[in-house]
Amino acid sequence: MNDYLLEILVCPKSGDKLDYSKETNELVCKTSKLAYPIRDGIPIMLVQEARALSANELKKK
Amino acid sequence: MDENSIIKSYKRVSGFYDATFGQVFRPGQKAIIKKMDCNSTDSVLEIGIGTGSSLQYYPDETKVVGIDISPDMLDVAKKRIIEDQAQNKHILLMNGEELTFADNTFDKVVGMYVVSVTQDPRKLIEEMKRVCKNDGDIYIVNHFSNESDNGLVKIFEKGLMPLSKLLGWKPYFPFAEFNKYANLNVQEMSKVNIFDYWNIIHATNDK
Repeated sequence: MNDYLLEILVCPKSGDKLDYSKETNELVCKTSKLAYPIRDGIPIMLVQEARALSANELKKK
Repeated sequence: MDENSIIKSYKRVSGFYDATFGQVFRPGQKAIIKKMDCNSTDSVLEIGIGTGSSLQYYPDETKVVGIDISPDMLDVAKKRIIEDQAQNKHILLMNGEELTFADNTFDKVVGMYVVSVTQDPRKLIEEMKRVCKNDGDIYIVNHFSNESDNGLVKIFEKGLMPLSKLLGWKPYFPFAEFNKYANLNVQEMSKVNIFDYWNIIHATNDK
């Protein structure tokens, strides 16, 4: 994930900064508890395409 | 046209877009990017990046982030970026009416042929202003209907009707009405392409 993009992107739902998860190749928002997929290198910045983080994943973060 | 219809339309055309319709838009892209006069420190957001055909006109060092709502168009753009080894060019799937960038992120924000396609142009322009820095620059290339359009423009517009329908453009979109809510501080407005069909607008972002 490109550093510059990480710096400027925010979660479409919470407006907070995102973290990159190397493990799942997703952009993660702890506030909205959503993970945005990166498909073929293209971040998908739509709430309807995001995955809800599991309780376990939230504990880890 | 709603978001899903737009996505479907562009899925149909993405494979042959550059060789056909893309040619109609090319001179406008080239002209507006020339006007943007980007330098190596500029950060640019391009809304409606589509197949990424405009990326070649920006300087290599300029950071350009391109967004589009069509995944099929972005697939073409992705291939292009890889082929060109364009390290400072990035693409994201995003709705122009809901930009997922922090406020005051970009020096220059450009909307390429999107304001008359998007569902809610008011929301789009508000978002463009929000993510553009104060005193930054906003650029728009689009066709705005004009009562004083000459005969050739009207014939050209008629000729483009099937394309307009396919790509979801609003048939009547005058600038004066758009700017009632867009409230752009227009610095320059010029025309480009055959019959001066497309308008290029440069505005400063006064917040």
